[in-house]
Amino acid sequence: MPLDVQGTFVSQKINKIRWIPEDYVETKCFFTGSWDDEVNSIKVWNFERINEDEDVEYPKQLSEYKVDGDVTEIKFTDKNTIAVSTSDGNVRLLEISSYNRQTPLRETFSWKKLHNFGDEQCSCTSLDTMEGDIATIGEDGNVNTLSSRTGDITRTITGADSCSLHSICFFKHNEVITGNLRGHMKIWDLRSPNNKPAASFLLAGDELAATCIIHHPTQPHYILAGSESGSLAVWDLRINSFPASLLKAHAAGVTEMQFHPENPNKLLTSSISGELWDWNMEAMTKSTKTSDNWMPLEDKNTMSVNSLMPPLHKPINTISCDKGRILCGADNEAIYLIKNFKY
Amino acid sequence: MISVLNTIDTGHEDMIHDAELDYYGLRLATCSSDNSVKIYDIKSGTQTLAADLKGHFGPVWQIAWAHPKYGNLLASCSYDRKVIIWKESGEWTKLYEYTGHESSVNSVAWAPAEYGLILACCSSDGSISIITYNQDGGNWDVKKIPGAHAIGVNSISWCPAISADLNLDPLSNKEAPKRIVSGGCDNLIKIWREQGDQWVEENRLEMHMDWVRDVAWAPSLGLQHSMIASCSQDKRVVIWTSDDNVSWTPTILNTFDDVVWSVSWSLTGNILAVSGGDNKVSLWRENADGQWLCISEVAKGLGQTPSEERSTL
Amino acid sequence: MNISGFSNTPADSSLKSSDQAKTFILPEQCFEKNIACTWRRGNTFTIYPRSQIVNKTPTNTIDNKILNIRQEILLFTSILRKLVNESNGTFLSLQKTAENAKNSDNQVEFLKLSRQYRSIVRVCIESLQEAAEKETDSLEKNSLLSHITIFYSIECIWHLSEILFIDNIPGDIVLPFLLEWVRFHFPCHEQTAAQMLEACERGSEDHPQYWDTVVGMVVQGRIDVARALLKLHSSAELNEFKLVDNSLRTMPVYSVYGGVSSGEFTIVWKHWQAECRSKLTSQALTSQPNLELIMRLMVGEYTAFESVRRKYASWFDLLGGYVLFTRPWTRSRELAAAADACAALDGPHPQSHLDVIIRALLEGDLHQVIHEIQQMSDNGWFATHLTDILYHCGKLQILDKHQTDVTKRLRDSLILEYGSLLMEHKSLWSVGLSYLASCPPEGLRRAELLLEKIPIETEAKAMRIIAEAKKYELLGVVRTVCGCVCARRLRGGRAGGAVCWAARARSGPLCARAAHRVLRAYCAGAPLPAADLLLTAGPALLLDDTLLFLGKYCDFHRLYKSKEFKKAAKLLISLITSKIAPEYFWETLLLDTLPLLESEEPVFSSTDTYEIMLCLELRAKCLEGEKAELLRLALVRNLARTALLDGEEE
Repeated sequence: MPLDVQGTFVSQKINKIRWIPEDYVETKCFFTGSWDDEVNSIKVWNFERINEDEDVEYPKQLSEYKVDGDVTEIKFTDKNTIAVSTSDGNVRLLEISSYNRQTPLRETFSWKKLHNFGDEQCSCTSLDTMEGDIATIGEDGNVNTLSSRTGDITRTITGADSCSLHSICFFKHNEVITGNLRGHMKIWDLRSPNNKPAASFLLAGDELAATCIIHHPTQPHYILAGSESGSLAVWDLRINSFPASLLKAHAAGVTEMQFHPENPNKLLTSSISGELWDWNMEAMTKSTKTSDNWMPLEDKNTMSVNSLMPPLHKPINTISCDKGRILCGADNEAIYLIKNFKY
Repeated sequence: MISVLNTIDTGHEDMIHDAELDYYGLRLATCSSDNSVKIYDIKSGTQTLAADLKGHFGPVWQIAWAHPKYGNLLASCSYDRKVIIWKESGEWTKLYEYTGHESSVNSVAWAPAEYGLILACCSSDGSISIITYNQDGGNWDVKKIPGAHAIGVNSISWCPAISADLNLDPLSNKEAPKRIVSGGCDNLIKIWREQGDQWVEENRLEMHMDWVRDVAWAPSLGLQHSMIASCSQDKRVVIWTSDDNVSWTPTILNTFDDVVWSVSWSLTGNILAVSGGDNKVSLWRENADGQWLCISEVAKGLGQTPSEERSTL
Repeated sequence: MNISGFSNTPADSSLKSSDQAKTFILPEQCFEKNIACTWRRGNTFTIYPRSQIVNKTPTNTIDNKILNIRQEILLFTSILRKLVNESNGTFLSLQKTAENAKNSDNQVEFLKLSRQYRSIVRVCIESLQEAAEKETDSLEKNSLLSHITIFYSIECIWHLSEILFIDNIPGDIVLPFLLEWVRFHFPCHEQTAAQMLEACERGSEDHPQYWDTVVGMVVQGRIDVARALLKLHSSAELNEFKLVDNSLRTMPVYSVYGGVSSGEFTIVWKHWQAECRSKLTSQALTSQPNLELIMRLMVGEYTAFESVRRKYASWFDLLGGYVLFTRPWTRSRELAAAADACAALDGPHPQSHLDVIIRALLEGDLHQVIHEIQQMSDNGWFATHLTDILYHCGKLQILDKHQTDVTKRLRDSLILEYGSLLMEHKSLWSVGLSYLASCPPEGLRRAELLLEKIPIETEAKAMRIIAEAKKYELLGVVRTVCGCVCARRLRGGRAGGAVCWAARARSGPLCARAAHRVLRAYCAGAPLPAADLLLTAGPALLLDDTLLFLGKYCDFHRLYKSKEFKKAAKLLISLITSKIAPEYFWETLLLDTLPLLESEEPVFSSTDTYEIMLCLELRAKCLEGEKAELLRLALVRNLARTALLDGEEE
């Protein structure tokens, strides 16, 4: 079946979108987090058929949880709990009922003004989670780690960066990598007591921000970073602590990247330029067996890149995929469902 | 439909003389005959008093916000002959006090940010001062235009940095000469140009038959002609237009029933708001034939409540 | 009040109808004294009691209230935001199509986009209906219902405009399209007809609306349905019925592809109508007045149309039928006469707004159409988008009273207003920007002024504004936004952030400000901040000498800390001799030589030492008293040991 794209306008710029995975039934519900509006919120949606015989499903809002500031990140800490960061510096753990998705989200923990400039507001720009641990970053240049089990702040690296931090990735149990406004990346060993990074390097010479960082799902030593310039960097931490090359990809900033949960050879990326691409990353894992370093990134054509829908006129901020269904949220106040994606 | 979004009770103990919104429209400053300047944070319909600045010893006539790239700065001028520049860093403090005038200071205006941190002020002593912040030395330099208008200067306004007179790339025409327009008690409007380290009178515009109360140079889109609006105690509002900032053509916008106190342009310069002794604010825009039409009015209540007054749009 | 409603466009100054200024009355006793206003972003402004004179006699009533006033914008409601966003996509595609159409005819593409707009309006109406059904508050419900009315009118006008000006109708025979338009927007009797046919019972005439429905179907040109309904009459076997059925059956229908020329068709048609007429004059139908009425309509008898007029809400309902039975070959440019005739059925009634617009459309007076639709309460959405598509189709030509073509100006002014309006909104600003950008050069200049004033709460927002500004090459905005964030970082004492944003602004003065701040703080005893940044900064350092100095000085600290004293000393000497250090920093710089002068191994050569000495003497003011003595002593001692060493090397 060909790709099927269906857009729904939701009257909010969507900054984050996440499927809520189900164990035994088809995934139908998802979270959205909005930004850049007078009032922003986290909403729970469900895809419903209006006519039983029709194949078209429409998203219907099940609940809304309002927040101050923009929603900057949503990540799961377990099946029914999400960690949410907002631009007022707060971080919350929100739980969705596994029995009735319509029940309002319940706040289990919250860390008010976790990131701050003293009295002045400071954005918590992003967070990442690993096995119940949460690492947060902010414009204050600090890194915090939180425990979703106890609600404690387990570690704070004050002044981890003199600039604002914009991206973070938990790639090992106690190790995170952060990226700042200038593309300065630092690797932190959270067990080390001193506030010094284990390694640091610049993503590129253009001094543009590192907007997102992820690791390969099965081989976490592969790190990918997206830049404000639209470029992509991939490297193998076992060989180099820094990327050997940068791939010119999107026409403007990379907003989010995700490996397909079922097929780690598939990578999805979205951009400020309104593009949504899928990449065949098979070359990446294969080359490791033969060559010492993986560097096929000179040319994106060798990577076989596909566009999943015609470019939007506005930025696409976020993606989430579950089997053959991809969701994305954009600045044109719409969400898109792409069906029949081959993975 | 028009509605009153909200009402701010300023708590001033005497008459208010000016209210100005900061660059982003998120803060409102007011000044009053009670000698104080107040600053309010306006956030989504609610407002809180952020500061109550006391430093003047007479009615405060006017206030002006500086461009945010210079930080949070507010200038105020008063009957006490002083101009105070206030700065916020944590809290509001006096950054600089200018005492170079011999009489009431009637108006303050920051220069376009492209030129640097420059403030102009004018006084009933007939002179205009241009105060420039010198970054290297961290001090303020003053240049004065003595005897700018006999009896007194009531109002000043800067020519936008992107101006129509030079066919330069608007992004790089910092070379465009700085200009100021002033209106005074001699019924004249004068245009001043910086030449070397002097300010010289470039033009005098005669039209009004009584004191000129307010002058306002329109924001420029760098494409059309330059425009200046002036209003006077002669009850008239005049629009002055020029293609080169040198020769000016007057058009009488309207003759009102009462003294006109103030004129102000909207952000993109497409609408002019006029207010005066008739207790009305009227909004004007120009049509293709160069005619000025009143598009709406805001007037003092005569028994109606705003909810009854619904205009079909 | 009509600010963005824009009642006075450049082109329509000659039209007076509703150009009157609207007065907004403030709550009573709000201000006793003079009032004045101050502008906020967009169409919001603040009213305050501005007083010009010093109050010598304090009164009891002091005006100290300030009012924030704004026009309520329909388009900012949640449902209509969907319309705003979705139509923006179509608008941008249209601009692209128009760009391509310069080289090739793209009428088909324009028609597709016009239909897209209509389907967006349809979706909007459906959402409004859904919301109205759910709404319990009667005031809210009423306002939703009034929105529905507005968008129904928009849909109706757009559809007709599309038929008349955008679609390329084969042979310009407009009738089938006109009938379709009537059926779609004025679906009278359709349901009743469907019910009766479904039931399929003889004797349907017992239904109170039987004849109205049959007539309605005839008037809408649904001949087959009308015939089927007549067959359900219990007297359908009567001759009169058969007669009418036969006439309906034999009615010639023109088709461009039918192989018949329009001339031939006209002859056949006239022949058919003459036959119908003869049946009427033969009084064959006098016993069945309803059938007679149908026959009279079929021969285009004006009085027949007059007699059914009151059964319909408007004359539009009859327009299709009237053309069908009078001049089915009418071309779209010839519709004005039919419109006149149908409108005259109303007698001397006052015309509704929609009447005026539809008639103007049928008369091809687009100038009037646009003027009228500007009066609709949709904040200019319709006028902007319809004018734009008509303009790009080349169907719009509007002259002012001096006969100069002001079409483009009209289109631009509408888009500029609409774009500026959206720029006011917290979230829709990027949509507004894309409209302004489609009207260069003025749109971009406006965008510049408005973009710079968007509040920047977070760096993410700043980066998004910068990305948008770069897209349209508004580099001044980029610099201003970076400068403002830089100033905020400075105020918060965040040196690293300040340097970073100053570098993004590519602004030397801002870099200098940030660097000075760091150096002064260091002099005052603070640790040197932002080492991570300064040590990795590349060409950014070259933006300003002080920043470059700071960068190098930072490097000196790094070398010193890692005990690379020789290198550190060399760098320090180069900093001293380059003379780019700020005045207040000389003391620190000179004192930094002290530990190096006293290191176990000499690290300064005698030449270096002389340089430092020279500096110390030249800048005696920078370092005085005990500290200067201490340094002199160290310099002399170092000179003593290095002179010896240098000598040895020789």
